[in-house]
Order: sequence, then structure tokens, then C-alpha cells
Amino acid sequence: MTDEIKIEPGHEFELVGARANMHIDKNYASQSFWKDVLARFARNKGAIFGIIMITVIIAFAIIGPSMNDYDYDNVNLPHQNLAPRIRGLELLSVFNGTENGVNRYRDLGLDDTYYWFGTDTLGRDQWTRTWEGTRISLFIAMIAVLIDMLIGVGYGLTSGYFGGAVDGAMQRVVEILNGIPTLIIVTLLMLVMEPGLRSIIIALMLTGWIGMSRVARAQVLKLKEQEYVLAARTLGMGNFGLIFQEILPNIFGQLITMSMFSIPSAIFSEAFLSFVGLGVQTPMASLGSLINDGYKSFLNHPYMLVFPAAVLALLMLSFNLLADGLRDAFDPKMQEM
Amino acid sequence: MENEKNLLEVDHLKQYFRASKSFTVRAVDDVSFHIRPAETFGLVGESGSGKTTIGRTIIRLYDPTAGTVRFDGEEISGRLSAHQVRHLRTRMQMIFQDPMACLNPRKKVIDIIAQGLDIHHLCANGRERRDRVYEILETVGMSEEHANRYPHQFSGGQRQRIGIARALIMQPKLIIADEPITALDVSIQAQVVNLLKEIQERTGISYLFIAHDLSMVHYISDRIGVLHLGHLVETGTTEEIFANPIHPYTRSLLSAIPHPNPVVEKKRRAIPYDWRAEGINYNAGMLRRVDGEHFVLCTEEEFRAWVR
Amino acid sequence: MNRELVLRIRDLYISFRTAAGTVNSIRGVNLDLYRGETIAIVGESGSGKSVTMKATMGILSSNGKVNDGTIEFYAQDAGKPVTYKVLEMSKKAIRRHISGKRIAMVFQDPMTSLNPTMSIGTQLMEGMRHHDHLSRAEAWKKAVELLRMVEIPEPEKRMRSYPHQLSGGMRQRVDIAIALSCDPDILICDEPTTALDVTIQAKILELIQSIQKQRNLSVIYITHDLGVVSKIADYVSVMYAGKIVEQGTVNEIFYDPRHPYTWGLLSSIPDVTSDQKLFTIPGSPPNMLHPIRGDAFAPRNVYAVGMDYLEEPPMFKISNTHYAATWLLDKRAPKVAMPAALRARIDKMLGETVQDGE
Repeated sequence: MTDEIKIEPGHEFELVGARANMHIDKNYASQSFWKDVLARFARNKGAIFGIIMITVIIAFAIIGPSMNDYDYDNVNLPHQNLAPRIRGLELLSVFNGTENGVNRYRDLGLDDTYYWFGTDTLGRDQWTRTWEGTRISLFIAMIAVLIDMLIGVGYGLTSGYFGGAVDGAMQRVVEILNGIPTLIIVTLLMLVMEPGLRSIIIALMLTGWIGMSRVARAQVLKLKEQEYVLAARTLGMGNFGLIFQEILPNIFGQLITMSMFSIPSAIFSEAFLSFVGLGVQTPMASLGSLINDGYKSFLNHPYMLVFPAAVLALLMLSFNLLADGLRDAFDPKMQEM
Repeated sequence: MENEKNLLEVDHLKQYFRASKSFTVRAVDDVSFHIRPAETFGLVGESGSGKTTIGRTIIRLYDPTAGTVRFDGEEISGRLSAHQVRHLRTRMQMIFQDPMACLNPRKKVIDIIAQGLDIHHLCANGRERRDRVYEILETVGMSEEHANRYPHQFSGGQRQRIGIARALIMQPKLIIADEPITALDVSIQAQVVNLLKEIQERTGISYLFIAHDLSMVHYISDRIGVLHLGHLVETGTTEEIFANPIHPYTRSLLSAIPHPNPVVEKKRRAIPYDWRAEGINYNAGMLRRVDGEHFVLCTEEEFRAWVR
Repeated sequence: MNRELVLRIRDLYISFRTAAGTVNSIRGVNLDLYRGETIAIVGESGSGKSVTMKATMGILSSNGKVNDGTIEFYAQDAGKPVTYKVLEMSKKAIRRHISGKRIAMVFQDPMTSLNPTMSIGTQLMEGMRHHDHLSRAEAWKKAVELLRMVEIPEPEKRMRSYPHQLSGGMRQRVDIAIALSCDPDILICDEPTTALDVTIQAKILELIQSIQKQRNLSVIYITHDLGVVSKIADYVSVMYAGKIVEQGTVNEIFYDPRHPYTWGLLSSIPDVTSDQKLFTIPGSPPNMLHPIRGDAFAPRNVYAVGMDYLEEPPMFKISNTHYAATWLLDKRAPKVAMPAALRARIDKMLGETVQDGE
């Protein structure tokens, strides 16, 4: 693109010559990689939905339990099996306290009592318990990411970078670990520990990072022979510098994406283990244990199952959408010409 | 040819790769040549000739299977002391083929160019570092304002210049250029080659210019080595090789260069080369002197048959 | 001489929608191809040479749009002349009537243009059985003949080989055989030898030449290598930034070039017979995201006149076959001759042709 040039009328046919110098084409994207990524991410409606949903759920997890006066472990037998009732939303048949045409609030004379998500078989407030359970799920999500990043990435980077016998040995170990189902590991752990959050975290630490390590290793293998890595080697850069300065920044996007994808499966693992009774124990609530309790009364009181299940499903869906959006943002499909 | 004044001496270099238990790829098979200061040595070969492997072995990206490499008086092919490593990594540099892949996409140009300075702590402070980068950008025909950008903002030719700047800022004595212009447009190739020549005139640097385009090699090289299947089949000054090619492979290669002269080119036929059919065994031959610096890899009978 | 027109492209304008904006890739291209002749389209990256041919085959990528122009292909169908207006045909119609059957294409990378999971024989016979409805036995026989024609040794054995068992040069030969399997009228070669060694390239070019003579094929050859052009072309079109800047017979382009870009290209080729310093065109090809004002080549044109920055030059006629789009040919422009070094080189080449007995 030429800068403005003054050509006098009448002098159009005089030699002017070349005006090219080593200019940067103004059209090549002049923003950094991360701004590009952000722009692409913002355009993906699914991803935005996901991130908004996650924010909302996190917000409720934080303030939800304190929004009403009930604690998560307040057993109150007279108030058992009450349907959800929200002041102001009674016109919606879901929240008016009736179930199968029976309004037990009225029967018991509890006109000023509102249980927003209803109560369970022991009269405990479901609203508070659901959000307490969500806190646990989010905590697990955080742990999963941490384990992925620290153990998974480190393992995969080392294995892929050094190659040869080191890689061979490390991959055999991974293959063996991968062959053992998580359920078995947790059951075995129960021989030495109490079932609960700690045993789940340890189970994750043993096998939850394997997927990430594979991704990291694959990425390193891809980049190891790239010319800019070779160039850094010829300039004298050591192994550490090559891994962290040359290779890691170029695979960071894929690692984050993979990490986001592993969150839903970690959350579900915890929920499943709690569902089968190997996870958090009463009175603590996790989405999985709530689903377990609700499942027992499903035919009579469906609301006990529906709310925690809905929250769990939304949480997992949102993380999946987020991860999808991240993957597309980091790795856009190049339109060819 | 042993000579104290040679900048680089490669002697009987072998690089074998073990592909499987029964099969070894002999990428470089007993190659010897030397490069003097302020000289350009063109290493020519087709795919599979081993030319890239030679470059990478000399600069110790691979460890040589056998043979010795002497650089600036010191042997660099065996176990290296820390001092020797530093010497190698500063005084010998490499520029690569693919302008799209030779620069780290996440780094700014200034950090890419100053990488060598950073690794060896050659700059006292940030200002010195910046000044040296700006200076080298001018030398390669770019400007200061390019320093704060990212590689994807530049064209292929410009990226190649950045790669050259990265090598040049270390003030090397030898640059190994591994097919530096193959991936560039025709009009840009000439720019980059002229830049390399200019730098050589100014600084007395030597080049090992690896390529398959014989016309460019003719333009830039003082001496040439012709590689085929890991063997150096012929070597000499550019004039000697082009005026009097002896080895049938060299003759075939030269005959295949298309000339931009339509009337002549349409009638010309390339000379085919089939070493199996002609019964040539590279392992049986040795480098024999034809004239001046001109050597051919052949047996006694072949020498008598080919050289008149 | 009875020249039969086979392909006509007129006023072609193509743009692409990309993440960064609209790229005006082709800005008005005209091309005439006659039976039995070879046109070489020469250009660097961004010139649009491949895009033009992809539009002809109907394989433009989905974000591309033809904004204007016509592409007409003239053929014989059972003795009667037929005109195919390619840009107006549906993708299905193009697949049935044109692709592979009348116009075939050979691509640049022989590694990726063959299906690695199918044997050579299957890939060769695919087109024949689909378009010409040959039986398996007939197709097999014809396939072996084709392999023999492209000089692949032991063709019957090779029919069962897989692409990874062949070298790059052999793969490209197979590509050519596949392209010719349905007896097309036009063969389009998109830089078929760029990825190959120079000795293999020479053989492939000779092969294409001999096949062309045998079958009276029309060939469009896309390349950036002027040495290759001088070998195989009858006519040359030089493209820059989506337009043809000079076209003519191969002799006219090489011995009497008129456009400064052509001068620059010819001067950038090293001359193995002399030691002169290589002339270089300053700057780099333009990014086609911007609309271009005036001559696209002007910023790099050492011989630019003021007008080049204001208005795009039209095609000026030099002879019946030779045209160039440069204001230097306008009668108001100063008389500018090609650079002295190039002049000397061309004179030397002409001297060689005399020696050769032209």
C-alpha cells in the first residue's frame, strides 16, 4: 500500500521510481497472540454462554448457602419431604409448595417457611445442600487442573523432550497406570483410608493427569524438531531453557484447553464415586451424594433429584463449551485461498 | 587437505542413523572438505544426498558417528569442554530453510535476535542489548521499528533476514546456511543472496552454503562440493566444476539446470545418470586430484576413463 | 494455421473472505488457450496463478467468490461442438462433465496428492470407471498402458504398489498418468516439479512435452521458475498481484520483455555464464487485503512514472501476440530501455541461438 504521493497534473509521465523500503505491511495482524485468541473466543456464542454459566454457578456456590437461614446439616424431621417453595414465585407451579396436589406447608401450618429447593428425607434444606455440594465439585475441578498442570504437563514434557529410553520407560508406566480403573483405585484406597474427599483427591493424583501428559508429550514431539528450537540449540540454549522458553509458550494454548476438558470428567468422577457411596460421607453433601439420596425418593419426590442433577449437568456442559471455545480460539481453522 | 589456515576442516565424516535392528541409514558416508576464512563453500545435492545432515552434524545438533571436524584450530567433533561448547555456539551459527518455522512465533523480534546474547550474557544492560539489535537490523536491511513486532507480521523474505540477523549478531566466523533461499520467491531470493554476499565482503565471514539450486550456488560460492547419496563425488572451485565437470553425476546435474533461453532450452536434453547401470561404486573410489583444487571420487580406471 | 480455441477466460474477478478481511485475489484476468499449445502462467506468491486455475476446475475453496467474468471451455461431444460455461455450472455438473474428464490437474506435492491407502492401480482406474464406464478389465489394461507411457518400469507390478513405496518422481508420474486417464483436452499443471530434484524435474518436463505432442493436448503450466518456462511454453502470461502484466510468445517474453516486473524477474535469475551482480526487485509482493490504487507493482518499480500511482495501466499492444500493462508503453511516457545488464544477457543468449542454428 503506497503512502500518499504528490503527482502534479501534467507531470504524470515523469519517472518517479520505486518507493518500497522494508516496510511492515499494515495489514498483517498487529496484535499479539493473546489478543487474537481473546477476540476469537469472544465471537463464539457457546463459549460465552459457558463462561457466563460458570460464573453464575460459582457465584451461587459462594453466596448461596448463606442466602437463607438454614445450615446444610440441620436435621429437622417434622419438615421432611417438603416441596420447593419460593416466596414471590408461587405462581409457578414448581415453586408453590405443592406436590401431587398436596401442599404440606399448609397442612403443617408453615405459612412463613420457605424452602427454596425443598427438603430431603431428614428435613434438611436442599438449597443450601445443593450449593455446598457445588462447592465441593468446584474444589475438585481446581484440584484437577492443578494436578494436570503440575504432574501431567511435567511428566509429558520430560518424556517427550528426552525421548529414547527415558520416554519408553515413562510411557510404559503411564500405560500400566491407565489400565487400572479409578473405581478400583479408590476401593483399594479405602482399605487404608476413610472414604471421603481425601481418597478421591489421591485417586485423581494417581491417574487423573494421564490424558494431559499424553497431550503435552505429543505437542513436545511435534515442536522438538521445529527450526526455531534447533536455532535456539545452535545458539547454545540448554535443555531447561528450550523446554520452558521455546516449547512451552507455544503449546500453552493446547494445555489449557486440555485442562478445561478434564474438569467435567473430574467433576463427574467425584459425583459418581459419591453416588456409589465412596465419596463424601454424610452429613457433608456433594452433588453426587445428593443425587444418590434423591434417586431413592425419585418416584415420590422428584425435586430432590432434579435440582442437584440440573446443577451438575449445567456445570459440566458449561466447562465443555468453554473448553471447546478455547480450543477453537487457540487453533482456528485456517481458511485457504 | 590439511592446512593450518583452514577455518573448518571436515575429515572422513560419517553420520549413520539406526532406523531398525537390520537397517542403518548412511546419511553421510566419509565426507572430507575444508573451508577457508572469508570463503563460501557451496554444498550441492539433491534430496537424500546428506547435505542437511552434514550441516547439522558440523554444528553438533547431531553427534557424528565417525570422523573429525576441526573449527578454528579446535576439534569440535569429540567430547567438548564447556569452553569449547561456548566457542562453538558463538563463533559458528546457522540459518535455516523455512522462514515460517525458524522464528519462535511467541517471541518479539528483538528477543529472537538477541537470544544468543542473552544465553551467553554478552550484554551489560538492556540499553546495550537494544542498540546492538537495532544495529544488526540495519545491517540486514530492516529498521528499528521492526524490533517490537511478532514474526507473523513479516513476509518470508523479511523473516529470513531476521534469522540472518540472529546469527550475525554473534559475530560468527562461519555461518552454515541450510537451504536459506529455497522457500522464498524468486525475486526475494536474489535480495537475500546479495545481502549475504555484502555481509561477507564487509566482515570476512565464511559460509557453508547448502542448496540444490546450482545456479544460485554458482553465483555465491567460491568453491563447490557435489554430494550424492552421502558421498562427496566432486569438489573444486566454481570455475573448475562448471567449466570441466568430470564425474557423471556432476555432468548430469549441470545438464539439468534449465536456462532461460527458449530456443536453446527447448532442444536441450538432460543427461541421465544411473550409478547402478554404470557400475559406479562410491565406496570403492577415493578423491583423486584432477587439477588445481579439483578432485573427483573415483577408482583408477574411472579416472582414466573420465579425465582427458 | 488453424488454431482451435479450447479455453477462454475473460475479465475474471475473484475475492476471498478471510478472518482478516476481504482479499481481492484476482483483479481482471484474460486468457486464451488453443489446442495443442502450452501456456505458462508465471508469478510469485500472491499473484493469483493457482486461484485462476482452481476457478476453471470448479475447486475454488468455499470462502472464495467469483465476482465477475466468464470461463468458457470449448469441446467436442460426439462430433458436435459444445460450450461449457464453467462459472455458471453447478458443482455437480462440473464434476460430471469437466473435472478429470475434459480438464485434468496435476498438483504440486506428489506426497499428498495420492491417497496413501489405495493402491496405484485402484487410483488410476477410479476415474476411468467413473467417467468412461469402463469395465474392470478394460480399465486395468488402459492403466498399464498409461504407466508405460509415463515411463514407469514394470507397470504391471506397480499397479499393486502403494504410494509410499514410490519415490517423489515416480509419484508425480503416476499423478500425470491419472490426469491423462480420461483423455482430457486440457492438462493443468500446478508447479508439478517444484518439490522434485532438478534431475527428476528435467525428465518430468520432457515427459509432459512428449505426451503433449502425442495427444495434441493443451497444457497450462503454472510455475515461478523461468527456466522451466523457457523449456516447455509456447505462450507466457506473467501475473502480478492478481493481474496479467505481460503476455506473449515465449520468445517475445524472453528476448523482448517490456514490463519492468518481467525485467526484474529475468534479471533475478543467476547466469551461470557470467559473474555479474544479481539485480533484485526491491520490496516484497503486496498484501492483497487492501484495495490497490494505480499499478500494484509501482512501489517496487524502479521505472515507475507518476501515472503508475494514480491509475492502473491498460494492456498496451506490442504485436498481435505481445501485450504489456505498463504506462511506459504509453506514447507520453519517456523512452525507457531495459537495464543494460539484462540487455547484454539477452544479446548473449541470442548469440547462442544463432550458433545453435535457429
